[in-house]
Amino acid sequence: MNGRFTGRVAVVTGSAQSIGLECATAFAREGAHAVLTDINAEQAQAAAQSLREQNLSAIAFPLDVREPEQIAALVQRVAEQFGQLDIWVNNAGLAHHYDSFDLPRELWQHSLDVMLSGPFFGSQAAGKYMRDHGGGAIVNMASVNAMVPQPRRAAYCSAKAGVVMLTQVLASEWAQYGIRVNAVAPSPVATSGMAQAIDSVGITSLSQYTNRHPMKRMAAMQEVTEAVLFLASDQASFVTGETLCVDGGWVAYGYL
Amino acid sequence: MEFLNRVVAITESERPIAQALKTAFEGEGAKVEMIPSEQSAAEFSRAHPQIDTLILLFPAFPVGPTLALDETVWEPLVNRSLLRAIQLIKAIGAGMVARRRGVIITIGGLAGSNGWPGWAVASAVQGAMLGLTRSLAVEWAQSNVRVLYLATTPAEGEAASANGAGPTSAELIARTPLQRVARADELANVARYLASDRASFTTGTPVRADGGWSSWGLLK
Repeated sequence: MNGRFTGRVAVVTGSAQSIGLECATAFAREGAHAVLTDINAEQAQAAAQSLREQNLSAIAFPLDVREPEQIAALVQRVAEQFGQLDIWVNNAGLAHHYDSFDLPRELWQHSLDVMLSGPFFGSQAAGKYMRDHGGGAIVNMASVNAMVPQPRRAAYCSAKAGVVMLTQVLASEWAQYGIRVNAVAPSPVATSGMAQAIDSVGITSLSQYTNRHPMKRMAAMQEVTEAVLFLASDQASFVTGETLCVDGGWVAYGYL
Repeated sequence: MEFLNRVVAITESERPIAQALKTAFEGEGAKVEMIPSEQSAAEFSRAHPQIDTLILLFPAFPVGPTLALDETVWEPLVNRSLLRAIQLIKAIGAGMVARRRGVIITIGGLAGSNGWPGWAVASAVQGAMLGLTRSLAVEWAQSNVRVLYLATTPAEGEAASANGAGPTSAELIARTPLQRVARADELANVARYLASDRASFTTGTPVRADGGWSSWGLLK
């Protein structure tokens, strides 16, 4: 593997499993110190241990992205441990499905706390450190649902649309400090969490998701992580405020 | 060497970005063919049956008040950009679809998505290429041919317009959140990523490498 991230420190939220873990692993494989954070502390520890057994640099911390104080404390801890923080990936997420007439306030709030407020406070804490230490790269996990609506996913779609705007606001505000802020917008990925995304009323099967893609397949997790890594890398030095679709043409498609 | 045994064809070879693209792709093992402007799309395609990546660059357009724009000036430019692009896509895309592998990237400006006063014809061509990108991407998605539009601000050494009108370099820098213009090699890096297998699920979308220009909503 080439070492695009040799010696850099990359924090990924929600990285005990799935796309987050895949991102952290990919950063570590390309030479970064991967910092795994997750609300599920045990699972994150186990994942980091497994990476270390592959001779990769990885460490895990518990983190609930709904708690800005926890995020700020984590940034401080990473700074103390490594003396740097170069990359911050706001990945933590979840998917509820609910008829909007009945969506309970707690679920609406939970979605926004994790997927919109979490990225804001994560970016705020990481961004302050990056501002004071010569810059860095922030990558947010958006979704095709930021651009293309899906019934029964009011909170998810709204949070993700918010993430795209947040990405642009922070990009315009922090470019002067050498901080680039971008997002990746994947279509549904074949992950273990995919069952969550299958809706009893809307899209009801994997094959319906597959067929909604002009490419007639789902994204491989690696295709999403490649986009995250590209945006975090020096190769994307003039790219900021961008939301990069990894969607097999999902957003472009508007026909029957 | 991500592009070993792959062939990349590029239009408008005299533009600095074309040279930067050549360097970037050759650095990853590609064979690069510059498409001569005097050669027909069909002739070029016959001479080069295997093109894996087609990169469409456009000539600079003159900018200024639309009412003062002379048809004898804009018509050949539309032919050389939009119509030429469709001809090349058809001629070269046929082989891509048959081989079930290919990437087509238009590199153009931002005026296809936002209003730029004085840029009406240039923005019409860019907007047309964006539409072409989306529809062709979903039409050829199952053939594993990806189609993308890379939207950029003018790079260092590139003329923003053909007649010296339009923003100066200093004005571009002042309006860009990163407070500089792109180097051509930075834009080439993005194009190379999009053309690579690492971007195998990205198609039909504009991708901006604009230093944050599109994210800036205030006067400057």
